[in-house]
Parts: sequence; C-alpha cells; structure tokens
Amino acid sequence: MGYYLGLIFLCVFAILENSVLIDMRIFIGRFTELDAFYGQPSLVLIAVIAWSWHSDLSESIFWAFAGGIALDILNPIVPTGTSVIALLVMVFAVKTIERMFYQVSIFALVAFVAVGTILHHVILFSIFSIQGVALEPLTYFQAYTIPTLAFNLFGTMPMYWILRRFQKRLPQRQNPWAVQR
Amino acid sequence: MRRNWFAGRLMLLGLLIFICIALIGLSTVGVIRPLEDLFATPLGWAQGLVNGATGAFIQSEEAATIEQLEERNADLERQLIQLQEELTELREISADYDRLTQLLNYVDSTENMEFLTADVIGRGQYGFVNSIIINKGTRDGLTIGMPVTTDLGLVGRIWRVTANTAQVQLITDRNSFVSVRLQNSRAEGTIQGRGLETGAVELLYIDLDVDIAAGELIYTSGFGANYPADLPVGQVVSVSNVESELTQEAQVSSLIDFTTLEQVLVITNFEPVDLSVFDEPEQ
Repeated sequence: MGYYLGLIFLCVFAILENSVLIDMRIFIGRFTELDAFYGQPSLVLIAVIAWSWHSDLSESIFWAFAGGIALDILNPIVPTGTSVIALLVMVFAVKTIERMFYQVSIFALVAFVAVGTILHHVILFSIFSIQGVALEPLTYFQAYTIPTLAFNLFGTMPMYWILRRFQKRLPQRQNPWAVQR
Repeated sequence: MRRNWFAGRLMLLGLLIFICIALIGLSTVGVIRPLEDLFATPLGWAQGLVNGATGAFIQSEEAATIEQLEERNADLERQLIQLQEELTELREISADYDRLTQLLNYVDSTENMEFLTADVIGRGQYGFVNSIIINKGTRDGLTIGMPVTTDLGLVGRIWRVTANTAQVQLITDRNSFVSVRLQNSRAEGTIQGRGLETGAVELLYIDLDVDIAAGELIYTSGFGANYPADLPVGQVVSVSNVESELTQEAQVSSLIDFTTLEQVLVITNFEPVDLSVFDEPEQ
C-alpha cells in the first residue's frame, strides 16, 4: 500500500515543486526584491527521507526511485536519474543509522534532510558542470543551496507529521520481497 | 554477521547508484526518451493544470496590484500638481523676498532720502515712450518729477500720476535726459535714452580731453535739479571718440534689466526744481 501511496504523493510533490513553488518563489521575489533568491522547499527529498524513517528498505528505495525520477522528468534541465542518487544515499544512510543505534531521536531527521539537501545540490552542481553549464560554486551555494536548506529545515517536521499520519493507517503487511532491516 | 550486513547494504547501494548513472547516461544520449515521454505526458498534463491554476491566481494578484498601482499613481500625480503649485508660489515669495531685501539694504545705505516701495503693474502702452506703471499715486504722496530707483541704479522719474498709479518715464526713453558725472574723472555729461528696453543709453557732451574707460561707473550729478546727486545710473561699455566732433560720446549700459523690473523705490523727499526761471532776463 505504501508503494501506491508513494506514487501518488511523490508525483503530487514533484508537480508542486515544479509549478506552484516556482511561481511562489518568483511571486515572493518580486516583492522582496531578492533577485538572487532561487531557493524553494524540496518536497520530494523531505518526503522520501521522512517516509523512510518508519518504512522498510525496499519501500524506501521505491520511494527514492519514484520521487527522483518524477522530479527529473518534470525538470528537463537534468538527465533522468540525477536526483535518485541523492535520495538513495540518504535512504540508505537513514536505514543504516537506524540499524546501528537502538533509538534515534526524531530530530535527527532534520539533520538527514540537511545533509540530503546539500548532497542533492552537490550532485546537481556536478551534473550541470559536466553538461558545461557555467556556474560559480559560491554563488550557487549562497543563492540556491542555503535558501533551499532553510526551507527544508522548516518543512521537515510538518512533512513528517503529515506523512506519519498516513503511514500509521496503512495495513502492516509483510512484503515477501522486502529487504531485511 | 554485522560486517556482512553492512557490506551487503553497500553493495546494494553501489548497484543502485550504478543503475542511476546508467540511467543518466542513457537519458543524456536520448536512448530512453520514449520511456521518459511516457511518464512525462501525464505528469506534464497535471503540471500544466496546476500551473494554470496558480497562473490565474497570480494574474489576478497582478491585476489587483496594477489597479492599486494605478490608483497610487493617480494620487501621486495629484500630489505632484499640488506640490508644484506650492513650489511655484514659494519660489515667487522667495524671489520677492530677495528683491525686497536688496531694496531694503539699499534704503538703509542711503541717508537723507525717504523711499516708498512700489510694484510695477504695467508697461508703457505706447512704444515711443519707454515707461512703466507703478501701483502708487497721489494718495501715497507721489508727485510728478519724483525720481524712481532700485538698488541697482536709477530707473527714471514720475511722468504722470493718478490717485492710485503713476507712470514712470524710464532713463531709456528718448526724451529722457539725466545730468551725470563720471566716477573717476568727475567729468560732467548727459545721459540720453535710446528707446531700447535693454538698458542701453548714450552718454553725451563729454569733453574731448576726458579719458573715459570702459567699465567706469556713472552717477547722477544733481545738475539741473531733476535728480538727486550720486544715484548710480550705469556703466560705460564703449567710447566713440570722433575728432571732428566737439565732444565725445560713450555707450552706457544700465545695470537694471528693465524688462523684468518688478519693484521700485520712489524717492519721496526730493522735489525737482524748475531752474528755467533763472534763464529769463530780469525786467
């Protein structure tokens, strides 16, 4: 069930991230006169990490692939698969930390989102650089990564709270293909 | 056991990342373009719907903003017109203040003279008489012949007077003759107007042996008793010395711009004397 829900959620988040949030960013930018303010919340990234906190690895991997591919398909600047790498790494990191420690504070999720945001941007920057897009690393970091990071840190807990409410209502069914934690 | 688990995870992650890199490569060269289009079509359609909704919202916001801006612009234009009117008025007051201050300073610097300030309310109706009309008349104690001046020099004298107004014959008028004295040589002469409103007048009847320099100031001499002595009249511009003539002449320019004259001072305690009585032979 989490797979189907993931498809719906992630598609909606990817669409929102590539439409409403961009419009909102431009709309706000006009009034705040912050031309260099290109950041916006990474709904898919937050959702994948937040969902993986309480789901098994296979479902988390599915979320990472579905979310990443949806993001990349709607964003034609980057080739398909770019965002999946960052999401996959973060999902594996979450599941590994979860396994290594008996109890992990929910606030560690915020740290994972922060690391995931930076990793995602580093990968995007690398892909852009390989494609020959001239970018100034410091400018990119200041104008894009830091604002996005701020949005994501504020958005992590509300997103977790919303997804967790759905997650709790899902029937707990053993997936025969699930990778053991 | 734990090491195996960790290695297994790492291998899985590595495999998945390899798949991602392969996807990136295939996507870059366009091999999986049909597959991407398959997913992109419904997603793009949904994205278009959302974009349309937000676009309409933003456009309505923009329209509201434009209306507000138009109203604000209209308000500001009204305020601008009002402020421009006030500014013009204040500039006028400031200019009046400056002129009156200069006149007051001049009045303070002169002794034994009584002045009456008057506004210029018109110019001579006929071109053959260079004159101005002022807003003071017999009710204010003005009489014919009273000298009119400003801080910059002699303007003329009252020619005709009514109860409330007076006509002043300017020194630039062709029928105006003023007895003057050169500042340096103290030589006597007569200033005659040339009918020009530019302030250009002629200095006549200067002895040939008098050395006149350009820039020399000219004052009333008081001869003829038509004007008090030592009122500034103008400045020598050029000298025309013709040997065949008995006297020399000079072009003089008044410091006053008669075309923009707005306030003048009438010397009220000077009474011109008619000296012609002394010209008649005794009976």
